[in-house]
Amino acid sequence: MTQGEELVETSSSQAVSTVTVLPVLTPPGGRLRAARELQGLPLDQVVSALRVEKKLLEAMEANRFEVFDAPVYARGYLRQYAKFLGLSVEDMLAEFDGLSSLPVAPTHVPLTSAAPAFRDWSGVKTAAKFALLLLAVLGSLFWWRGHNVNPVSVAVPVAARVVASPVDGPVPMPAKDPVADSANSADTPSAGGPPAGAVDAPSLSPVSSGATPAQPTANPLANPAANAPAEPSVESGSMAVPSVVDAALGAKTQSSVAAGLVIDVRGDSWVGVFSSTGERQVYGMQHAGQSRTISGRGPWRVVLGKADRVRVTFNGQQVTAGPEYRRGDLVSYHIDATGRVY
Amino acid sequence: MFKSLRGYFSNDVSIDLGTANTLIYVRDKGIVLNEPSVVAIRDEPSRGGKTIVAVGAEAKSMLGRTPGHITAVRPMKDGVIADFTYTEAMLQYFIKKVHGNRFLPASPRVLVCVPYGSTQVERRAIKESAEGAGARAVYLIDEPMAAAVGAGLPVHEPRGSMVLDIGGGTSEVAVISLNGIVYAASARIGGDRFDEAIVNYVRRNYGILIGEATAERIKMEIGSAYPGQQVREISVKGRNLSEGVPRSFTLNSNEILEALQEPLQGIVGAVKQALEQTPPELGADVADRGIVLTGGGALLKDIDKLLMEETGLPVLIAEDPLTCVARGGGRILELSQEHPGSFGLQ
Repeated sequence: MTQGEELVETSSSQAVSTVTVLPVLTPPGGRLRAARELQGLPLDQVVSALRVEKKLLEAMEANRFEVFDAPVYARGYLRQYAKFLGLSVEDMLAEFDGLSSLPVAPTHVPLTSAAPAFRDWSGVKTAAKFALLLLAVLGSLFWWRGHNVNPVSVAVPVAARVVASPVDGPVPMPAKDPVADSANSADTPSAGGPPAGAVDAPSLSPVSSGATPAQPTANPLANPAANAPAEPSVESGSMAVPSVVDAALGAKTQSSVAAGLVIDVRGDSWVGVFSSTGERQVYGMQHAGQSRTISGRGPWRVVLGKADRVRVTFNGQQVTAGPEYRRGDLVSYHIDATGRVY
Repeated sequence: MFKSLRGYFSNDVSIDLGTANTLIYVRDKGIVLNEPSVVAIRDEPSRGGKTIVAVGAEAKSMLGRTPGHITAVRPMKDGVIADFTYTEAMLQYFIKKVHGNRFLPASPRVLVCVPYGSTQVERRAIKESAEGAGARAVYLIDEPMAAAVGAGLPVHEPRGSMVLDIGGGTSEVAVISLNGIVYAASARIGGDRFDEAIVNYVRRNYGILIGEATAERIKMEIGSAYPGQQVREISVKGRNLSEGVPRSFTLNSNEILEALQEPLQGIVGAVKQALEQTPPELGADVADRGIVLTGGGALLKDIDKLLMEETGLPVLIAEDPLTCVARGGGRILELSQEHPGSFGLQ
């Protein structure tokens, strides 16, 4: 039997024999005191060995561990005392943990906690971030769906591309709804007159005749002549053409635009328009208020003496020449069948 | 990229980036990683240069046993980064290991404990290293403060508490009151210096060269800081410097005590210096409560007895001293969320 075992047995027997007389001998303090007394050690000797205040040792022997500021000190001193007396540290700590009057563990709450309570927004922030993420995902889905629908159901842009415009002769018209056709037939001039141009998209516009039926949703850009005052003179080939209703789309009203090259003179200016063969279509001084229309597909060469006083439109779209074609007030450029200036 | 998104799927961690060991504490999980701070690198220019072979315990087992093209290095020295690249790689490995294999790479908020004496440059290096390892936010805390909180000291009270953290590379002593450090000092003495002292002692007295791993084993088995009644012995092997062949010899605990005198006196000097510099009121509190030891160095036999004899104050060893810093860091991270600004995280 080892010395340690003997010590434990002796101390426990002593504790049993004096339990009614000395209640302080309950473990772990009672065991400490019993072991110390068994070894004949005065408390002062323990004090000098462990450098611990006497009152703390007495408190430990009386199981008054609440005198320590924190469990770390209580457990630390208990461990040292047990080690010094040769007792099992683990057993002593286990007995210590079973006590009810333990020092309170530090909470580490800073003194500044007396200030207004901090409101924790982290939950709200998290929810907001997830909501934003969800919105972004849904938005992406809608966008994706919007770009993958059947192209037939998408509205065709108003400014459609001009594909053909023979100078003379009738042009085959796109298939039209018979009902819409008959409804428009009353306003449509005779078929003998050549239309200004045919388009592959249902955007076919008359020249500035002032009488442009069935154009309820005309785009001002695509049909500038519609907003302009009535023009006195109209060249041959310019005529009012009703809007075409696309049969595939079903009653889709389209705007009308002026066909061919239209020259509106706002102030006196010299104007020259030459065909590709050099033939003079317009040549000479033009006066304010005059309007000249040159039908056909072009290309033409256009020379304007006072460019700022003349407005040139091609198939309803204003032709604008860049500064590279300008020399002072004079502007000279070519325009092709697609309206491109070069 | 997407660090904030990945952050929702990551746990906040506290890292004790030590010279000898790296410990990671995760909230509600406790210490989840405790591995040596060692990285093994393979250098093969024909296959794209340097690559990392192993990290942690596996790499430590390679220390001093590697072939020419593999090098086992310790990227931390004296508590601070000695090799930025390998520290970053090591942290990355540890963070990934803690979080396991996930669809999104982890991007946690990380609190790293740094030595009190580290310079701004060294602190910045640690911060950038953790950021490079994938952390979405990096906070730094002084090691003594983390050690005190981890040991359970009532640091928030207007009373002085003294803590001595003996780590692998540094020893930090601090007096703390009201959640702040009143006085602290850092000595670049730690477990590594103990090992070094043992290697030097054996070479000087026996003419035998032993490795760092053997020295560490000697320290852990028979190392002592104060003369004891019982003399313990250990048989070790090393290379005889004159003969050039391995020889076996026996060392006893008194010899190791003699070998460790120099680094131990350095630590005692730092503690005495701290006590001298402590304001009298706080010094009285320290005399009442005692000095609490944390860190791996606190496990050296009878180091508490040595400090007790030298200072005349009670000295206690914290429970589980190895993990105090990491646990304290984790607790500080939690407290900083509940009470912003209470610990002045950087």
